[in-house]
Amino acid sequence: MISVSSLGKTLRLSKIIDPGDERAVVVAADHGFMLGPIRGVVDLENTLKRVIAGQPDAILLSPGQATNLNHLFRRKDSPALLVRADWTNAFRDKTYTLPARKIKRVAVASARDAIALGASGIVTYFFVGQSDEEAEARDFELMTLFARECRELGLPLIVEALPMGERVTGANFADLDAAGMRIAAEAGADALKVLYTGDTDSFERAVRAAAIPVLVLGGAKAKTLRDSLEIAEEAINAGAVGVVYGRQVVQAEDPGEFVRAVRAVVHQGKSIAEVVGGIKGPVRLNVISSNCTNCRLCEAICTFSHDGFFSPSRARLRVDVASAERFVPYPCTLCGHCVKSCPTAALIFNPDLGYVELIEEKCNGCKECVPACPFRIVGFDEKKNKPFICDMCKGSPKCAEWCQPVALKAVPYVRR
Amino acid sequence: MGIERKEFGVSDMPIISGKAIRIGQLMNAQDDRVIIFEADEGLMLGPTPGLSNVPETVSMVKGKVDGIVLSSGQVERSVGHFRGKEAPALLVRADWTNAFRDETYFLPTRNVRHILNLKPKDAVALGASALAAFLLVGYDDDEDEARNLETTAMLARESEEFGLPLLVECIPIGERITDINYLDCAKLATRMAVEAGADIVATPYTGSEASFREIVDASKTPVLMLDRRIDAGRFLSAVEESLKAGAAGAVAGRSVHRAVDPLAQLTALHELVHRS
Repeated sequence: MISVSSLGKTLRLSKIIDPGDERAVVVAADHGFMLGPIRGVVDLENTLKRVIAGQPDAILLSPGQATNLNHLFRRKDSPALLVRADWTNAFRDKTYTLPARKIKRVAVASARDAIALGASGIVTYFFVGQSDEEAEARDFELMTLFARECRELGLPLIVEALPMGERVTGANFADLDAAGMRIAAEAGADALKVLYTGDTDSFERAVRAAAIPVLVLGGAKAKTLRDSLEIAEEAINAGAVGVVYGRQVVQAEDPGEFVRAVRAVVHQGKSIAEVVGGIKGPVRLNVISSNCTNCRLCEAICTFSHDGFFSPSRARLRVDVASAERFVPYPCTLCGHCVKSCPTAALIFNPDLGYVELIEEKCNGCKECVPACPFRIVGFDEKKNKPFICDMCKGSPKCAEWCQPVALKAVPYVRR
Repeated sequence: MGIERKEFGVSDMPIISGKAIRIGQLMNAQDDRVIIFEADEGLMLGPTPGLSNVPETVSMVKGKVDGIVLSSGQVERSVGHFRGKEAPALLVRADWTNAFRDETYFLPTRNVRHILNLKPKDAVALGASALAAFLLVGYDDDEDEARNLETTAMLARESEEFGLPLLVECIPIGERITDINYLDCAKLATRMAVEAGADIVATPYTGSEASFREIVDASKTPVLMLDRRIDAGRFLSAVEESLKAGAAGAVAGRSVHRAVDPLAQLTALHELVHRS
């Protein structure tokens, strides 16, 4: 039997997560409540107008601002309003003017208040990893109280489950993240706002275990638009339905443009290279071998980004040790020998971005391309029966991006 | 005030709320400015000079101010002074704190405490046009600040229910507050109050027009200058600078009732706020 309240939840959640593609781009703008008027939210109305120009699916505000700026949410195509139902001092770190000495969290609005404001959902924190276990238990208790209120009124509850406090370490972070997600789901959350664990595998497991829609937040790691898009893309590949970005958006030079870029990746499935561009059009890799320190990070990141694990033997470039002090990276130079050698025309130049593209359906696994490469960087995957060929990471080569000494550099490719 | 509507359409339909009417009872309709007189000090400090007889003081100031804050216990004694349209608006103090018992007080504060006395419903029953409450930051124990904020938010939610405007007086106070972090803490406290749902915020003068403007710019609700942490001689110039910074008026207490000539002080304040 379908309960009335689950109908309300479904309907309201569909204003946040687009039912067309089950994806969401949410903007958090409740910073002033926790940290005072930080950059980007001083004149919140002005910032929000610019944010809304980029068409986010929903915007998160404190109850006071949800009242003051209620008029920004009154059109059919307005973003959905999410209300922050609690407050915490947890983000006042040691550099803050009045640092938190212990983490506190209190409720500031009920589900009923949020309904009266016209909200499509409420967002509350749930912290795992505090040194005071009593505090975690109270946090949990508060979450279940919100869950019951929300169930009664058919209002979606989005729990921001975060590893937070003295007991959080690098080693237990992913586990705490996953635990917080699952606990919140069992306590009655309808969706989650969480930090990315840091790798696809653990995040995928956590998302599957939570079994409710998961939105990732940017956090401190997402400094630039590219970082934010990378986190969005990775998290979505690992099963997230979208993102909740805050500072990244409100502090962006053009918040609307930022939201549009995130939408392009989240809703339209565009590649980061397409959205950010970096270099518009084809790229090639410049080698400055005198800078090479033989660190081999290029090989490592190449296989990690293509295969999901580190395996230098599968790298689409290699570093040659010419002498004890001289190292030469050999990336793809787009010389075209492999393309010419292919008898089935499975290898082509991508006309837009200029890289060599393998059309898998046409490839018969003849291996002609492997010896054709003058730099010996075309390898062969025996399991798939296909070669692996440098694709310039579809326009933004990771090897160059990660090369600290700048022995590899992505530059525009001019066809001769 | 506050609710400006540039264009008119369904999306700009104002929220129907008693708040607009009650804020109208408080603010001066000509200039949208306000002078609020605090006559509730006795609740926190006992019978201080100038406020030993509250009805007498209220009677003296009522023609010069737009609103008067009283503790709930004093409302009955002074109620006659609030009758009629010309009378100042009644604001009721919702909370109590020992924070203002400084070193010169005969029983100085050792641990800042803050307690709720009454709820919006009680203030409505008393006929109040608005509710006044403190939000203090700088408590020694973060727990206390969290509780104070929780109280502010609760008052905001319940005030919304009754259409009662909420004035939050945001004061950085305690050992953790220094001259260096004062402004940032005042900015934090006022913005916290706004986001919690305060309709009007008040905060002590931050020392300069530019710094006070930072608070006004970040609030987007009427900001009043609170006459704490300021020498009596500096009061009027501080009000003037605050107004230049965009303040909507002042909350005056001791700088008026402890002045040598309270009425002259009030007249000067009235000139500044309403005729400048």
